[in-house]
Formats: sequence, structure tokens, C-alpha cells
Amino acid sequence: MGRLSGCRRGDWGPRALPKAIAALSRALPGKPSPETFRRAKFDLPEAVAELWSLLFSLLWLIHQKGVGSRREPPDALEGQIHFVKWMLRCHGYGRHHFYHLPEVGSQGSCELLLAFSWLLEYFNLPERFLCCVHQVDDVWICSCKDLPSYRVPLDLGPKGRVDIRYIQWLLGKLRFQWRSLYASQQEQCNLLNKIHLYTRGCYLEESIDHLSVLETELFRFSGSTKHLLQQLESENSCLEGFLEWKHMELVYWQWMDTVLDTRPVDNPNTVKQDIILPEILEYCNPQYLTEEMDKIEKNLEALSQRLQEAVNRHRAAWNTKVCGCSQRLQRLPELSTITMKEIQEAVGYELAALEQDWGVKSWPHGLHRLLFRQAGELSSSEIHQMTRVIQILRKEEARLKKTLRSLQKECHQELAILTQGLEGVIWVLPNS
Amino acid sequence: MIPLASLRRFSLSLRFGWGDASEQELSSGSRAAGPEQQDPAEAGLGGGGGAPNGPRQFSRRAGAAGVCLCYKLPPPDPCPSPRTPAMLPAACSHRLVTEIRAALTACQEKEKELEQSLARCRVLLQPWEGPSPPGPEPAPSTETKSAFSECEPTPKDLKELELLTQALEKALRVRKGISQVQAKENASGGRATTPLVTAQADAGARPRTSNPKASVPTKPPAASQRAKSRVKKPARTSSNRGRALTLANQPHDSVPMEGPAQPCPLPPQGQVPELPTPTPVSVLKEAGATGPNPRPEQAKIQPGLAPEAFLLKDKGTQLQLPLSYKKIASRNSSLWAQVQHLQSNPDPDVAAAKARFLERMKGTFDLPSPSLSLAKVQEEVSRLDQACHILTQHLEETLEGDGELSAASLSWEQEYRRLVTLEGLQAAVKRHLLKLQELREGYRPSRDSAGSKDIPEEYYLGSRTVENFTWDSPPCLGGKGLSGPTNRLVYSSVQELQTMTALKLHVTMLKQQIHLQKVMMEEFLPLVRSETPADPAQLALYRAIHSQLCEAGECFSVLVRDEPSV
Repeated sequence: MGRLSGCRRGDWGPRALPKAIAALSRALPGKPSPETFRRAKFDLPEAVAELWSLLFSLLWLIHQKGVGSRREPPDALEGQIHFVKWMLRCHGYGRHHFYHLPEVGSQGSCELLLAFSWLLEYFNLPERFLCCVHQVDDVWICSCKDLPSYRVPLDLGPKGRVDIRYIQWLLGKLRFQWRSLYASQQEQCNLLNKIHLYTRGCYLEESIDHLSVLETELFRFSGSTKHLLQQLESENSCLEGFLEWKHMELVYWQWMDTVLDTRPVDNPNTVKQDIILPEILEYCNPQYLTEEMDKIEKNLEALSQRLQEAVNRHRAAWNTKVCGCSQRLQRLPELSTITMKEIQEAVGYELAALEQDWGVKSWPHGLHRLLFRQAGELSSSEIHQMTRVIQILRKEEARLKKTLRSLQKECHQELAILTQGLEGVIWVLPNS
Repeated sequence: MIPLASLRRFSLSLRFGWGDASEQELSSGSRAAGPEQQDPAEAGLGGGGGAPNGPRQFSRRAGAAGVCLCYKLPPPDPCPSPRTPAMLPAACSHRLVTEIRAALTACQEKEKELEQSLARCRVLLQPWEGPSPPGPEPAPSTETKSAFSECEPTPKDLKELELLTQALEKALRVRKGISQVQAKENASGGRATTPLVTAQADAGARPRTSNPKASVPTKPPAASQRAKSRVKKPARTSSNRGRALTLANQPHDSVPMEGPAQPCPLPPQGQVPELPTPTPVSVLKEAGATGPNPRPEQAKIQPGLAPEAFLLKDKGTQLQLPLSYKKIASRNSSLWAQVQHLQSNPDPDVAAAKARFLERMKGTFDLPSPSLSLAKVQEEVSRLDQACHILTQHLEETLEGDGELSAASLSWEQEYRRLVTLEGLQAAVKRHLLKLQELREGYRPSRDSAGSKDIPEEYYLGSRTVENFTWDSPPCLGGKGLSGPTNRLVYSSVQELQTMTALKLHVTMLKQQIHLQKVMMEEFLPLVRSETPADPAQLALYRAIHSQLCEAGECFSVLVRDEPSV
């Protein structure tokens, strides 16, 4: 690192740009070559194919991380280009010329370079792809990493009518699946703890007292040593590339400025290319969004109406109470203005906290390595961290339970026409 | 005093009731047949996570109009009996089956992943054999030498021993097949017993650390004795394997919480007396020099020795990472530290250059682009949806007990507080409605803006109609934070870890459940509204819908046909 931090702005030398790009490509999954960038600046056709595939590989990774689905990527170049275009469209990239690039041929490498640089900034790119070798004793503290609820396109499902009991059977199966997941998870905790416990003292750093599962496997299977070392080696090289890039990034952006100066002008004669929505991106569909907004609006309006009624009722009750009181005593005996102000403030805080709850900002997001330390050896911040995670999870659990219950209650009201109004049938509820 | 009609009802309800019971029996039969539905831990989710209660309880209570058979539901028979077919419309069937199957797939994949990592952990906790672990590279050879020079056996003895060990190993390999069968048998019957295992490890450690007292005058007996004790080994190993398996399969049975250097809570010396327990001075010295907390019978594992089975439990503390790994790993962590440092101290010049680039790029954007990108709108929309739910809940809480407690019984403070809360909620809802309006306008590009005329609708709306999807949560784009190894979560007991993971699982489960509930509501409620009930099939359908929607499929109502008495 000393080598890198020694580099100060200005003494990068003449070959700074290729160096910076080389560093960037080490930190990126696609590993583009610096030469491609140079060619792209001059809009040379040789760079086109590599840039498309680079854009595709980056966007596909981002997409997969986001949705958690394991669909196969489109293998035809045309499909990949569709995907790239739509993805960029979804995220608001607005260069007309880009979307008109043909799906075959070799035009537009400079346009692609611009798109790449925009992505780099927009998605905070090399940082996003930095990740460490996955350990078994890692845990995702993140609401979106477990059980990704798949958005399965309906055309994948079987057609034909089914009996409702089949649905019930499927739901029961799901319930069992949950249980067995739970059991496996508990066992996993146990085994992890054992491994941590048994390998205490084999520390690598002062802060880590025991081996991870992966490290323990190093001993058990001598074959895995090589593999793990390779993985770590490549991670290190990626990190080194990233650090170097970070130190020289400025050169790149300055260079991009010059690229923008010479950017190609939109040729009005190019064939118009429609952006075709690839199947995988159905979730990012405007039509769906509109429907969703309609639903939310309806809910919000219903809520607003309910609130209006409640407020009217309570205000009226309050007023009569106050009036009745002030006629006798000239002032509110129980409630001073100070108390009223205090109450207002307290409620304000409460509602603000409520709003914060649904912003996921408070979530300790990301991949964490699990470390074991016995109660006596814990520092206070460490205790705090785990307690906090558990607290947040409990809160979330309570919130979701409530949501479910309120949905069930809603159903109950809806179904009251059944339970009360069926002619010739007496409906006995299970809890009655 | 029971009128005839109600008697009639009674018998009818019984019929309904027993119909259910037979359905129940049928399904439990089918459940027993399907191994994938066997629940490994019937203890269930009630513990740490506070998950749903066990489903297989029957409760019979006298209902209002007869016998109410209310049972917690196991999944009904997959192939509907022809008695009362309650078919769903095609579109509804299609959507529900697809959604539930998707949820199942998600669970199964998660489970598969878990199983894999469980298997990895189990292997580590079973007796280790085969190639002995790689010790620190250069050091062991000299240490081994010194250990040998201190002990009595001559190189010739050692050679013989090694040959013997090799032969035994071969035998062990041959017997493996048998032992695995045994292991299964043991797993069904036996409980984990650690003493054997400890003794086993001792036997493994012994050749190197032979008893000096015994070996000084008579070498041959010592050797033969060693050999004898080793001959027994394979059989023992096999039983150990079986037991170790059991140990791994019964996580709740043995959770030793004390340090590994302390003696085992189970009687550890149970098996030892029959074997000569060596406590040679040399070993004590050696162990004291290397291990952080040595036990006399624990010896350092070194390469070049005959491979012996041992347990991680016994030798884990003495494992030493190879130097090459240590080097790379420490480089790795220092690199991560630097990355972290860079993250927290961004370069202002770079940020400025980036901002400038972005600004210039935006200047070149010539599509009549909406002021908000779809992705952003998506994020906002799901946030608003969540907000709406939370506000509704808060309203319910605020109004709770509104009926019973009249305004008079509330204190002034309480009443004022409620009023202020309601008004606050009202303001929040108004704000959200405004925000929604903004979003609507924001993402729909202004149609009348210049240049948009020649741009087809497809640019905004996609060219094909697509099925709608429901988002539970905004897609997590990996989070802004880094996922480096510097993120650590420290736990101090298994219980704590288990609580945390159980909660995590329950949260995701609830999310799935809520999602499915919403889907079912969308599909089932229109069915109920549209049709008027007539025949028993329809009634069966309603009954099932009611159970799924209101009782999470755990309880059923009883329907009694109230036929006019003739």
C-alpha cells in the first residue's frame, strides 16, 4: 500500500490512463482491456462487441443480485443487447442515440463507452462488486437475501383447473418446508458453534479467536487448500486493482470529459430500434407500476376517509368536553398548555419513528462474518450489535405478524356475508 | 327440549364432521408416505422464533348447533376425492398454483443450500482420518525429530509400526462400507458417547508419545501391546463413526459450552482405564510449549506420522494454519482495511469530476425522459405501500378499545394524545397521497413535450402486456455498504445465534405468507362475491376459502345444513 499512497496527484506519468483503466478492469468482473477503451474513444468498430458483453455482464450481475432469481441469462447477443437497453432505460439513461444502436453490426463503440461510464457512476460500480470469499459461517443480515420471493412469470405454471384442496395441500407442504428449514437452520447454528468452539486458540488475528469452517476445511481436505488460496489470491488482486483505481480514478474522469467533447452526434438516418421488453425484466414494467399505484392510492384514500371520520368524531367529543369544563371553571383544569405541547412533541416523535421504521436505513445491512466469543470476553459494542440485530428482527417480526392479522381480519369482514347470510346453512366458526 | 329440526341438524353436522375426519386420516396417511414432508424437528417453530404452533392437534368442542369438529389442519388429500369436487376457475387455479409452487421452490433451494453447508460442517465434526492435517511447514519436521530422539522406540520399530498402520488402514477402508451400515444402525439406536472418542484419540496419539516407563526395559512387549491396541481400532472407529453421526444429527442433545481444553461434561475417562494412560514427561513438556491450554493426552498433530482418526473436538485447538494461507489472509485483511478506509474518506476531487461528468451526460440526454426513472419509482412505490400498512396499523392501535372505553373514562392526557395522533396520521396520509401524485406525474413523460411525437409508446410502456407481479420489498441492490470480511457479528452463545437465525427465518416466512395471503385475497374474494351458493360443492369451496383466508388454513368452520323440517 505504501507504493500506492506514495502516488500523489500529478506524478502519475504519461501512461496514467492505461494504468488506471487496467486497475479498473482488475476490479471489475468483466475484465475489459484498456485497449478497448482507447479504441472506443475513436468510435472504432473493434471495441463494440467487447463493450456490449461488458455492459451485459455487469448489468446481469446487478440484476441477479437485486432480484435473487436464478434465471438463465439470454445467450444470444441480440437478447443481451435488449436486456442492456431495457435495464438502462429502467434506470433512466436518456441518450436517444444509444437506444438506436443496431443489434448487429459494429457501430457505436463511443456511445457504449459513454453508457459504461454512466453506469460506473450510477451504480457505484467497482465497489458494488467487491466481495469476499464466501464462508459457510457468514450470515446475511439483510431482509432481501433469504427466500427471495420469486416473481415467476405465470406462463411457467401449469394450466388447467384444480380443486381447492390441491391448493390447500400445496400450502400445507409449504408449511412443512418452513419447518424443516427451521430445523436445519437450528442445527446449522449448533454445528457452527461447535466448530468455532473446538478451534479456539487457532487465531489468525487478534480479533478472531477461532477458525472459520472454510479454514478448518483446509486441514481436513488438503485438496481444498489450493482452491481456497487461489480464491483468496484473486480476491486480493481484485482489491489491489480497486485500490489502485481509486487512487487514479481522477485521470479517467478527466479523460471522459474529453470523450464527451468529441462524442458522436445523433445521425437522424439510423434505423429506429424499438426497445423490446425482455421477459426477465417484467417486474420493472410500467403497466405493473401503474396498477400498483392505483392500488396504493385506493388504500390511502380509504385510510384517509377513515381518519377523517375518526378525527371529526374525536374532535367533537373533545370540544364538548372542553366546553363543558370551561363553562364551569374558565380554564382546563387537567391539561396545561405545557402538557399539551409535550404531548404534541411526543406524538410527533412517535410518528417520525414510525416513518423511519419503513425506511430500511436502520437495518445493519450486508454480509457479516459470524464470530464466537464467550460472554465474558465480549466488548460492549459487540454485545450491543447482536442485541440490536435481534431487536430489529423482533420489531420486524411483530410488524409483519400484525400485517398478517389485519389482512385476515379484513377477510373475515369480507366473508361475513357468507358466515351470516347463507340461506339454509348455519355456519359455525372454529372459534365460536 | 331439543326441537326436531335441530336434532336433524345435529346428525347432519356429524356427517359433515366425520367427513372431515376421514379426509384428515387420509391426508395424514399420505403424509406419512411422503418422506419430504416428514418434519425432522417436531419440536417445531414454537420455540425461538415464535412461529406457528404445531398443526396436528385435534380439538373437539361442542359447537352451538351440534358437534363442532375443529382441528388444526394438516394438508388435505392431494387428489381430491370425487365426493365434493370444489374446482377453482382456470385463471385462479393457474395463478395460485404458480405462486405457491414458486414459494416452495424458493424454500427448497434455500434448504438445499443449508443442507450442503450442514454436510460440510458434519464432515468436520466427524472423526478425521486420511491425510493428517498440514502443520506449519518447516517447523514440524524438526519437532518430530526431537520428539523421536526423546522417545525410546528405534527407527526399526517405527518402520514396523508404520507398515502395520498401513495394513490396518487398508482394512479400515475395506470395512468402511460395513461401518456405514453400522453407523446407520447405531444412529437409530445409540446416543453419542464421547468417552470412546476420547480414548480413540488417545490411542492415536500414543505411538509417538509412548510410555517411557514401559519402554525402557522391554521394547518388544510395548510394541506388541501397542499393536494389540491398534488391532482393535478399526472396529472401534466404525462405531465411532456411527456415533459421531448421531452426534451430528442430534444437535439439541449435546451442546458443550465450556472451552475445549476443559474436560468433557460426560464421564470422559469411562473407557480409558483399560488402556494404559500415558502421561510421559516429554509430551507434557512438548504440549506445554505448543498448545495454549494443554491436556496431557493431547499431543500436537504433525505430518509424517501415521494417519489416525481423531476428532476436531480434541485436536481443534492445536491446528495451525499453513504459512502460505496466513500470509495471503493477512494481506487480504489489510487490503480490506484500506478499502474501508477509502470508503469512509472519499476523494473530493474525484467526486467533483464525477458529478461534472454526470451533469454533462444529463445535458446530452435527448429522450423525453421522465424525471424519475422506473427503478426509482418502483422503489418509492413499494415504500409507500409499506407506509400505508404501517399507518393503518397505527390507526387501529390508536382506536383500540374505542368501543369499550367511552371518552369519559379516558384521562385528559390520553384523550388529547389520541386526538393529536389521529391528526398526525391524517397529515401523514395526505403527504403520502401527494407523493404518489408526484410519482405518477414524475414517471409518465410529458406527452406534449417537444420531440416526443415521433417516439413510439414502447419507449415508456414496453411493447407487450406482462403479467403483474407483487413486490414484497424493494429489490435490494446489494446494499450500498461493502460486504467485506470486516463486517462482523459476534455471538456469545448458541442460543443467541439460534434466536437470531430463527427470527430471521420467521421474518422471511411471514413475508412469504403475507404475499400469498394477498394473492389469495385477490383470487378468492371475487369468487365469493360473484356467486350465490347453492350446492354442497359450492359450500365446500366457501368453507375452504374461509379457512385459508381467515385462519391461515389451520382451522375449519363447520357448515350445518338447516333444512326445513318437514
